[in-house]
Amino acid sequence: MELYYVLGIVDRNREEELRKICRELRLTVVLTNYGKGTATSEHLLLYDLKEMPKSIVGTIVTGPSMRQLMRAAKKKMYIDIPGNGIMMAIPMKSVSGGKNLAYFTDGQDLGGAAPSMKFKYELIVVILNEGYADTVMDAARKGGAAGGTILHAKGTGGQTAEKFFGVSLAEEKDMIYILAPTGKKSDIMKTINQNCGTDTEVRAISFSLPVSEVAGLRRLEEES
Amino acid sequence: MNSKYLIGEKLKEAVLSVLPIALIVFLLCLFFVPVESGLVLSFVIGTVMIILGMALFTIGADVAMTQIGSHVGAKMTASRKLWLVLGLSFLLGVIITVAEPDLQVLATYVPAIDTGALVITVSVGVGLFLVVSMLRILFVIPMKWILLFFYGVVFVLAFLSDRNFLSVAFDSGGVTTGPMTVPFIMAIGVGVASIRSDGKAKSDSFGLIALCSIGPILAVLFLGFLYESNTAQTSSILVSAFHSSVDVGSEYLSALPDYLWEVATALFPIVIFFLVFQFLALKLPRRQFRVILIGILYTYVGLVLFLTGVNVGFSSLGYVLGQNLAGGNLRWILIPLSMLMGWFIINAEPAVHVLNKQVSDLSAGAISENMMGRTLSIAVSAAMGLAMVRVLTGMPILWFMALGYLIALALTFVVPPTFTAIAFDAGGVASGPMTAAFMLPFAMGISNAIGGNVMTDAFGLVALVAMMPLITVQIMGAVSVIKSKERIAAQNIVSAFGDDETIELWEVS
Repeated sequence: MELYYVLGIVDRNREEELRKICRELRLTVVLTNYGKGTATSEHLLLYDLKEMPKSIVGTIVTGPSMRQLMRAAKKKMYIDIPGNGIMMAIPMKSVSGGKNLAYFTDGQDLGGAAPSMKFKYELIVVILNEGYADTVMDAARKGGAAGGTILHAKGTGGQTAEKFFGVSLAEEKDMIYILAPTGKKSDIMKTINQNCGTDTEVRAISFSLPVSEVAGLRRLEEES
Repeated sequence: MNSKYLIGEKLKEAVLSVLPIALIVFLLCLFFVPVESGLVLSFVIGTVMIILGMALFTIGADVAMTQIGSHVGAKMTASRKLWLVLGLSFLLGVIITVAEPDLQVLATYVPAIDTGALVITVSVGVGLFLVVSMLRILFVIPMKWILLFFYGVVFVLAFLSDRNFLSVAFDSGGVTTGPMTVPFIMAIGVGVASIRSDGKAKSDSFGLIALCSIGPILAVLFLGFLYESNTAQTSSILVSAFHSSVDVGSEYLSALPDYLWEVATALFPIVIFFLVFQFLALKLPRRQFRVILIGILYTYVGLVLFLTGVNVGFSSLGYVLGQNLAGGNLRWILIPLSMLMGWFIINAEPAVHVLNKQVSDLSAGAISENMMGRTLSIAVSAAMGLAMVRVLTGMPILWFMALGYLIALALTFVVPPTFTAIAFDAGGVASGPMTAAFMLPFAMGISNAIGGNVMTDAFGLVALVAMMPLITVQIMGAVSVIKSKERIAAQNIVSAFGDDETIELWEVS
């Protein structure tokens, strides 16, 4: 059985369109996160201060539904045109609980066996200290990354949360998602590690997830 | 749809927020109410300045004020030193309120109390209550008990105090939480929440504004006991007379330096605080630091334009408009007219957009900016209607306040705590410079024309604007909870797999 965790990253004002497509496909799990796009140059950052708020819409779908979803997003939101957003499908390996599985796939077309193990793209996930996203993106661009999405996160590491009176404290972290062709992935991860590794104040660690299908990276496809 | 530059986007937003109310007023002046043309010209110029100012200010608030606030909030909580958290909260509460331009506007309208004394008292009030909010968060005391307790104190004092001070006291509560304080104080809350990992972090990030608006009410009520009230001195607004278009221009030119100076002195303490903080503790990366500095510049220019536009272009016209409308024999029409203005004027408050965005961000879109906006429109529209009833009949403010707060506080027991906190914040946010500088003079003009007592009847308008959102936003919260409960209907799912089995998907065909 194929099951995918699909991430759609779009401008905040187009989030509702994407959620509507998900509703029409009767997807039961749709989770939205807020993040921001990365400014493409220092110039833009300083004089225009554009932050580009993004919505990251995550959903769990079966193989056939994933392809339907991608098609719908291309047709209705022109997501494959650069600048309109991006969508990727990460294969899921297991699910806990039969009822949960039935809930995820409720009303969807099941199908297929294991997903193909050839991954043309990978999703690089970078975890870093809060505030240094620009530094990491600069490094990533040197390695050939086209852009990324920044999410705010809280680090609740190995030790249990510290208490300050009635409040438990966590570390502030940022996360960056960078989608890259498999061929470029290791260059990007290498430059991030060289410039922002754990010996710097950024303390970035990065890893990559396999991506089975992608929409919205046409520019990258042409380049590679 | 999607403008390439942020400034373009914000300008569009500002135009959409300000234009409706400007159009209503403009049409009124053009066809129904005879007003000197100089005033109308001045109003048009004011509108343009307000739009520009609001666009720049919202950018500045986004990239500078909220950033500073949330960094401070996060950093001081992370220090885990109680005295530092409380000391910084108090200091910040005071310096940010001294900076609040709305407060300056209100202080000039109130003749009975010395302006300096009023500003300092109110600022200390806000500082103390920021400390109270921090203590509340740290010691996990439910919002509703705190609100119940302090509003209890407020009403006891209100019954004891001089009627003439009552309206002003309640107004100052709404007014202090304006375009400077709101982004900053809310951001402190968000900052504290950002480094917390417990479940209440989200709902606790709201509610700071709510408590901070109680401070000023108490402060002014106390001042009322100290000062001999002087009813002979009624507050009045100087209406400028324009003989030619050149007069309008020179009026703006002479007002501009005042505001350049006023806003500069207002921003100065925060900038100094930020610089010290940056070099001692925060140590932001250079680029982020530079962006914040540029943001402060945007805030400065934006506020200067906005305040000059509002105070020169709007307040005189509001006063005259009110006076002339009340002079006619169609007084009842004032009520629906004010309600209409209220519906649109709330969108022209710059701090409202900050709140709506914060709410939508923290709820990850569950409460959209539009939903919040509409709820606030309903609230302010109702508040304006009630305010007009008061101006026309002279009913005492305490009746409205007591009943309104009774409903609002009762609702806190029904509604989820997040909505309570958001609602009380919205109350403080809704009453900003537009209400203080246009609707209040409008009501003062009417009250003057029909021979009412301006101090008791016209004042109190801001307080009503601050009160109604408490009710409507909480009702919205209750409705959304009921709706989401309907959606999660229990489902009977039958599955081929056991319920504690981990299913390896790729092995299932």
